[in-house]
Amino acid sequence: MITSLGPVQYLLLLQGLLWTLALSSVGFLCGGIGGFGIALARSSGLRWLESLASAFIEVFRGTPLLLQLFIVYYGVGLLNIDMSPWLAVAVALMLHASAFLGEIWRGSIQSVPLGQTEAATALGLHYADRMRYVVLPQAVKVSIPATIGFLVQLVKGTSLAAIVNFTELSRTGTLLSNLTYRPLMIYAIVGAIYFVVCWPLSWFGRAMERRFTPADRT
Amino acid sequence: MSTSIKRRVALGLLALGVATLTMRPATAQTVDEIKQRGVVRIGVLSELPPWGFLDASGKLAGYDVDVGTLLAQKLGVRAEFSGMTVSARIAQLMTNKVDMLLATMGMYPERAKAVQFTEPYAGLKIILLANKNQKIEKLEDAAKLRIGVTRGAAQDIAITKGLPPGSDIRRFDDDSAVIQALVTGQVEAAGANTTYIINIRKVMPNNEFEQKLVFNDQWMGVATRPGQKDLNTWLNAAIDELKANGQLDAISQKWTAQKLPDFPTSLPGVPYTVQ
Repeated sequence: MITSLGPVQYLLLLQGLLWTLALSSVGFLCGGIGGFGIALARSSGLRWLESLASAFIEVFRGTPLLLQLFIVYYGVGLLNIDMSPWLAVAVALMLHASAFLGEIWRGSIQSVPLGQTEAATALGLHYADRMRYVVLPQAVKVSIPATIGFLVQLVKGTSLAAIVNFTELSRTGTLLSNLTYRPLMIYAIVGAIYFVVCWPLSWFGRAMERRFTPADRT
Repeated sequence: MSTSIKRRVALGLLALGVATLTMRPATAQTVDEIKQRGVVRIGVLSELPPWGFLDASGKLAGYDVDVGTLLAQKLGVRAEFSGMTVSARIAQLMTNKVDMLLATMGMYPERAKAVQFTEPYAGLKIILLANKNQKIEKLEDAAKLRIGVTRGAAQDIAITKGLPPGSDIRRFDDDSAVIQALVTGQVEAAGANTTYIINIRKVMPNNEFEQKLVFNDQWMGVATRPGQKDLNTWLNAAIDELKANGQLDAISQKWTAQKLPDFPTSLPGVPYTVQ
């Protein structure tokens, strides 16, 4: 039994924070790669590919992340495969983030007027060049606010990893609150830490938007 | 070496690393195997003072950890403790992450179907906790009150069974949430165990709470995977020895400020030995 927080307890919270950041980064990076593929598939013009990507999005956007984590971790465990919680959470977060980012970026790609694609095609640009030099540079700017918004959600969403016994920031908070019987104080500290992480992200998003704006004016 | 080959080598090494990390350590089924390995892996709770918890220095400590340390000494091996949650402990044992659980695990018949218990090494009482000025002499007196319990815990089962349907039982995720609800008046009584009071006294020395009712005794045994006869026999003998030489009593005094309770020689539906 401990009744107050000392350096060791703050160190535990810091470790929890590092896991939260690691989970968010993996979710965002892997989800970004997956989401990019989904976005391209959704806007490819091929009917079967579009429906496939659309089905993926509907499934993973329409079910709670908590459930996805649970199914990936314990479901795979039932198949007698020894999956580390870290891998399970990374996979679940990737699927989740792919669906959301895919749809956000699909919208951004389609917000670029169709005439630009047609003009690029008329100039003899192939699909890859068309995307790289014409569509994506404009789509990226449009996508930033929604992407950052999702990233902030993702950071907070990693708290659900506690369901697979993963000791990230929220779980560390629960643990310390059970050790000290002071949940209000502990959760206030945990909440403040989340804010300190998420607020600069929003700020960074605004800065990015400003940076991309001059390119728009040329 | 081209970058692509370098990348492939790096990926290969990474895959190897992941494979090594996720590979299971050899399962020890017998005492000799544990002795040979030189380390006994024990699962304890990490957030239930005074049984198993992270102390001020961030290390696992408590009644269970002390007993585990003594058992490891008897085996002549190093003890390796892993902290776990109540909900994950059986899964951790069954998937061979640990050799045994000293995880404040109450010996109930449903659980005895999943794991093999030894004879009890610790005990507590499942109680109803409420403010001193509440008049509660039997469970029916509490029927009008808002009662907080930890979801699925022994006190949840006892209170739910004892009160008429429609009683205001509020289930919380963990002990500290129940205590918080009791302290802030969200609930008027709480299903608890005898060690809650020790903890509340440390946080709030001038509290007004007292034990109102006792639902049942809860006995805690060491849990192993079913059928581990060799290990179970050894553990029972070791626990007998710790009881006889007073070491277990010392641990009880140290963590619960009570002498070792008189343990039952048998529990219905919970065999102490491999059948």
